[in-house]
This record gives sequence, C-alpha cells and structure tokens, in this order.
Amino acid sequence: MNPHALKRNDLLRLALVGLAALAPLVPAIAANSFFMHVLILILLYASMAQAWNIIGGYGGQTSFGHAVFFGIGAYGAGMAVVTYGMSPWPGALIGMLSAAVVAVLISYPCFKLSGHYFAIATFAIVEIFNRVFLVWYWVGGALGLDYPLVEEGLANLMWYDSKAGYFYCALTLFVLVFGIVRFLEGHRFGYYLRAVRAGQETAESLGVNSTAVKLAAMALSAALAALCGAFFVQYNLRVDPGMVMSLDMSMKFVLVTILGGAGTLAGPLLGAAVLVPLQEYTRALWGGLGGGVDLIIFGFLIVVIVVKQPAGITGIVRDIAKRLGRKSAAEKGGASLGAA
Amino acid sequence: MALLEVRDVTKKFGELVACDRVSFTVEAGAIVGLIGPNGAGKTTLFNCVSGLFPASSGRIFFDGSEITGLPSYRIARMGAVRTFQVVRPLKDMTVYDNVMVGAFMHGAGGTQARETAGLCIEMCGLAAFADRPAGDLPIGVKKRLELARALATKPRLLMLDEVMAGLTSTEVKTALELIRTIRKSGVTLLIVEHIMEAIMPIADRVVVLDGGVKLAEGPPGEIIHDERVITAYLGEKFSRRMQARKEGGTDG
Amino acid sequence: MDTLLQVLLDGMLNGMLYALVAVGLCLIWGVMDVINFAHGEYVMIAMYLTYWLGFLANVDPLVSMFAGGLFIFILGALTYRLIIKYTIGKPPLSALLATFGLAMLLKNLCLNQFTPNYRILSGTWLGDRTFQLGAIIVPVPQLVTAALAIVVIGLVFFMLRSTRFGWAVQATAMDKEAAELMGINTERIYLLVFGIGGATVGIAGGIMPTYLAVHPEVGTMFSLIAFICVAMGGFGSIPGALVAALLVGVVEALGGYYIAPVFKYVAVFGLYLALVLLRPKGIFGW
Repeated sequence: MNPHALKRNDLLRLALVGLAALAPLVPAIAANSFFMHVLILILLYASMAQAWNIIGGYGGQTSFGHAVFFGIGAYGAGMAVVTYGMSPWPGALIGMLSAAVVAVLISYPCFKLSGHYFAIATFAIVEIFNRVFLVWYWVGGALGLDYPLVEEGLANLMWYDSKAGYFYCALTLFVLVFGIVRFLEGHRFGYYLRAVRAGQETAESLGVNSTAVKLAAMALSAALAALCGAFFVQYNLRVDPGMVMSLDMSMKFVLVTILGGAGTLAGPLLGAAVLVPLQEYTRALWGGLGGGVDLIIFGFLIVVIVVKQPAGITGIVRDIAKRLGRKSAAEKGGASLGAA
Repeated sequence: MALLEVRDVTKKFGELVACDRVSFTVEAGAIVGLIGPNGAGKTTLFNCVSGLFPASSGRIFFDGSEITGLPSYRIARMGAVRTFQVVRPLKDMTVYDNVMVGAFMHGAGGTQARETAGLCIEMCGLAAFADRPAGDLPIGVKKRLELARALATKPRLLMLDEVMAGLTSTEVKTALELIRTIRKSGVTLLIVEHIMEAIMPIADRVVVLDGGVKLAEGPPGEIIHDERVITAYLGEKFSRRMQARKEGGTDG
Repeated sequence: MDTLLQVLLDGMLNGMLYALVAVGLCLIWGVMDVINFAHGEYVMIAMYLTYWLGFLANVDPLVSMFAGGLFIFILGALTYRLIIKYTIGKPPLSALLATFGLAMLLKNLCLNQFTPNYRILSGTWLGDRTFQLGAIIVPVPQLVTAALAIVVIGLVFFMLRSTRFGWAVQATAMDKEAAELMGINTERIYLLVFGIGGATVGIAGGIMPTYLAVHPEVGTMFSLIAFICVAMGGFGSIPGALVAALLVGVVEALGGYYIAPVFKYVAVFGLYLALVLLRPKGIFGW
C-alpha cells in the first residue's frame, strides 16, 4: 500500500488516541463550567452524527428520520425511570432494540424509493411519530416525561452536583460509536456498505446482498442513535415529542455529519466540534437579542459550506493538505499530485 | 456434466426479442467464446445468466443447480461472476478497495481478503494504481480493474463481456496471456468478444449468435468457414463473392 | 351529510391553496431536480411583505400580492444565482441541505426582526366574507385564493405547453446537454424557472394574510406539504401536483374532522407513504 496513505491514517489514529488520553483530565480542569457542558454536547452530537454516518455517509442513504430512533431511545430510558421507577439501562437497551426493529420495518419498503422520494418518506415518518407520541397517554403525551429525583450514580446514570460523570459517559459513548465504525471500516461489512453506495448493481454482481447490507446498516445506525437518545434524556432530565421526535432533531444528525464530512471517520467529530460551540456560545451570548441569531449564523454557515465544499470540513482539511503537499513536492522537483 | 447449461433461454423487451431460445453448454475448464455481430444479444444473454435481469423463459443451470431467476448476488456467490462491457468501477473507492470488495466473497477475515486482493492486483498489473480512486483511471486500467475485481472472487466460471474492446494490440496480447494463465489456474471462461484475433486463438469452442438466435457452434477452425457465420458478419454479397471465388478454384 | 360536504369543501379549497404553493416547487423540481427546502420560507416572507404593506400602508393583499410575487421572483432568482447554481452537478443532497440552511436563515431572520408573535391582518377587502350555498358556508377569501390558484397554475401550464420559452424549459428539463446543443441558454432557463417558481409562491403568500395568521414558523409545514404534493403527483407533473394537492387537502380535512385535529397531518403523511409505496414514481411521474 502507498506509504503516504498509511501515514495519514496513523496520524489520525494518533490524534484520536491523544485526545482520548487527555480527556480524563478535563473534569479536573473544567469541573462545572459551561465549557464542560459544551464538551459533553460535542461528544453527544459527534456520536449521533457518527451513528447517522453509518447509513447516511458510508451507506449513501440519506435518512431524515433518525430523530425517531433518537426519540425511541430517549423515551425508552425515560419511561424506565419515570414510569417504572427503574434504572435507565434496561430502558435504553429496549430502546435500542425497538429502534433497530422500527428501522428495519420502515426501511424495507422505503429502500425501493429513489432519491428525493426516499428523503420525503423519512420526513413523513418523523412527523407521523411526532403526532402519535403527542397523543399517546402511556408515554406522557404532549407533556412528555419529567424526571423525579433519584439516587446519584452510574446505576441510574444521574449526577446532580458535578458534570464529571456525564462527561465520562459521553466519552465512553463516543469511543464506543467511533470504535464500532472504525472496526467496520476495515472489515467486510464496511467494504460492502461502501460498495453498495458506489454502485448497487455492480456490488451485487460481486456477491454483495445489498438489501441485507442496507438493512443491517440501518438497524445498527438506529440502535446507536437510540443509545444517544438515552444518554440525552439522562442529561436533560426531561423529554417530550417536540424535543426529540422533530424534523429539527433529524436535521441535526444530517447536518453535523455533512458539515464534518460524510463517509469519513473524523467527519462527525469535526462537524460537532464546530457546530456545537457555535450553537451554544451564540445562544449564550446573543440569546437575549430576540432569539434566533445563532440559527441565522448557523444557517448561513451551512449554505456556505455546502456550496463551497460539499465534502465538508474533512474536504477543506484535505485540500489544505494537498496544497501543502504539492508545494513540497514542487520543491523536490517531483511529479505533480494531480488536480485538486 | 457441464459447468454451465443454458437451455432455451428467451428474453423479450416488450415486443423485441433479444434472445430467442438460445441453448449451449460450457464444460468445466474450457474457454468458450460467444461471438456475433452488434445487437446479436450476447450481452443480454450474459445479463440473464448472471441474474442482472430474469429471462423471459428458459432455464439456466450452474454446476447442476438451477440458477434461473436467482438474484445476481446469489449467482455470483455460487461461483459464476461476470464483468461488464461498459466498465463499472466503484468510483469513490480506490483500486485496492474495489478489488477487496471482490476478495471478501471468500475471505470474510480481512487478512485472507487482503492476500487475495494483492495477488489479483499483481496479476493484472495494477500495483502502480492501487491507491488511486477508481474513477480517475484511463480506460485500459479500468478494464484491468474490472478483471482483477472479478478474479478476486475466486470464480469457477468467469464471464468476460468484451474485455478487449478499446485495447491496443500489445494490450490485447497481454490480456490473452492473462486469460491463458487464468484458465491454467482452473477457472472456466465464457467470453463475449468482437475482435476475432482475440478470441479465435484461445477459444476451445465458439458459439455464434445473430439477431438473438444461435447460428452455429463449434471449434473456431470450423466456425470461420461456416457460411451462415460469414453471411451474418460480412453480409450476403461478400459471402456470395467468397463462394464464387472458392468455386472458381482460388482460395479466398 | 351537510357536515361532510362542508368538510369536503374546506378541504378542497385548502387543497387549492396547497396546489398554488406546490406548483412552483413542481416546476423547479421538474426542471432541475432540486428540492427547495426554503420554499415554505418564501411563502412566509411574502406573507410578511403583504402583511406589513397592509398594516402600515393599508394596501389590500389583493393588490400587494403582485408585489409579493415580484419580490419572491427576485429572491428566487438570487437564490439560484448565489446558491443553487453551485449545487447542480453535485449529489442531490447538496441543494437540499443548502436550501435547508437558507430556510433556517430566513426563518430566524424574520423571527429576530418580527418576533414570534402571530399577526393577523384585519380590514382587508375580502375580510371575513362568506356566502351560503344551501346549508354550506363558503368562505370568500379561500374561494378567491382557489380561483387565483387555477389562474396561476393554468398560466404556468399554458406557458410550458404553448410558448417557445416553455418548450425551451421542457427541453432543458428532459436533457440539459441536448438542450444546450440546440442553442438553448440553460443557465438563463434555470434562473428564470427558479424566479417563476418563486413568483407563484410569492403570489400565494401574498394573498394568504387575508385569512391566515402570519408568523415565522408558518413556512415549515407549507414546505413539507408542498414536497408531499409534488412527490405524490409525480416528478415534473403539474397536473399531478394539482391532483395530489387536492387529495392532500381533502384527506387533511377529513382526518382532522373525523379522527382528531392532531391527526390531520398523520393522515396526509400516511397517504404519501401508502401511495408512494404502491406507485414509487408518483401518480403521473416519469
């Protein structure tokens, strides 16, 4: 294999390991500050985006329905705590399984829809779930679920005084989701998934059962999104249909990934690292100015990035690296590295 | 028992009959050529056999089991793999990754697949391009990729659809050598070809299609003298001229 | 029986409004395969325009709706020139996300400037007029809007079928490169189509304050419903979008009345899913 390619992968891996090693130090430095909150959200959004990345980025199936899976996970954990007075863990597990089942049931018929029709179908599903949860008594209807006071600790995934517990949990979630995707990237499933995106018929001529691959990717993506939802509700202490089962929530999954760079390992993290601080700090600084300023900037940023660099931040980084590489190659008098 | 048996396969597109009750067999270890003028139905036949679309009627058997109507991925997994006439590289992926997709058919573990992929890349002379995105390559390299990828699946029957088209004569010679090597490794080959100099030297048997119908079948040496074949390829007038010249005493 | 007829009438009139909003999107989607997420926000902006003209200068929406049309024509053309143009060759997701960003920008701009308060324009010429047709009450503003919809849709359809420009548009829609080879300036076609699509929505939004409240969130649902209408009707089919919009209006009204108001949209989205799974290309799609 090309030695340069290896170097790039190694650098990335080193960076991630470095981040992971530094991470436990953070609570010691930043204890209860706003900064900690932003970090937790970055890790959560990165995990959400990476979950979406499995089917949306690597798989090439643009789903706007992930809010449904996120919501199922959130309600799973929420119901366990609020309605049944248990620890959220079994609820989260049930949420993950339910989300996977719902994902497969929905996608199986929807995968035969092409392009825009598929995207619109996923919108429709979010809206339907939203309305159903609004009137469903068992899950709390429009009022949603409000958390009572429970014992602190990992068993209940609840901490009141310090955010450190949440930080470590978010970190674990992040490592888990990214680890799974990294693993799949190098194994057969990852290759088959990308092949289906690159050319479904061609992939099938090489023995790839594209339907099975897409459904499996969807199920995994949904389960991980649900897990993120479960963490969210534990951190947020309440959930209602408008909060989780909404188009806006679905778009978060899509936007963070696309802005970071879909179909890449680092994309979701880069996207979250840019968008979350933007969202939180503009809201903190300018939230009082009649609202929406952060979203105006956010919207503008999306337009600019999508138009200028569809490969997202990863693409921008790659372009810069190529330009630097070309400069050094020119200095060495070597061959050109091809057009940007 | 033949490795591949095509029995009375017909394919209609609406009213257009692309293949009309075509039957032939391919013995294990053989190289069979499928030739005929443009529009004869060769690629359509390939598509039916490989499962890209189902035949309108007729049956197809691979290694004794019926594969009629099976989806293409099942047929590929059974060992009958095809390449495409208009090459289909998986564009966003590198050459290496393309071949890996093929290699994973029999090597679910990464290491075995990597070995197979490496071998196939070497064999088809693609080592220099391994890390390039498959969409950016010259056509000759894309064709070699198509072949390497199919080889990586360790097929028992390899179906090549006009793999020589667009190659220079040097490249054709290299390709022929490669095909002979592939046959030696035990792979059976069914080759659709247009270029006579390419297929006649290596084929054990040749099946001739014209207008969806099988015209003739036999060893290359016989086929080139078959009148119906000459007429199909070169037209009636030429064929009659050739006949007249032959009867006139001198060879054509 | 009377209630049913009333519900049906209300549904159909509403459906005609949806048709008017959808026709612009249908045109844009059919010609350049772009889903404009900001379509509903165009409606919202036109609504604010005529609202303010009415509120501050006493201009009736029946007059200022043309200003709305013009304003959104320009907005649409600008959107094309500054944004959409760059997403044409790229994967379809690009245009969708870029217009989503635009929608977010426009919505929050209005939220920021005009507050989230619902605003209702009173004292318009059509006002709250109604008339009786047997036991049925026919609301005049909605009726006029429906008539307007027929006129606008008819004009667009006529333009496409019977004018040279329309033929150029159809050619560009079917095969951009071939059209260019025939000397058609496809760049200008795309620009004008986006503008015209915007204009139709501008007119729709222009007249709506007569009977609908104006607020920053009003566009979102219109976007979704427009997508549904256009997709159900079939890619590139204006009659399809019209039929689908009527269907949506009726189903929404029936669902809202006979099941529960909160289920209005469940019925509509359910209809979309059911229909599109049976006919993946929409009613009249090609």
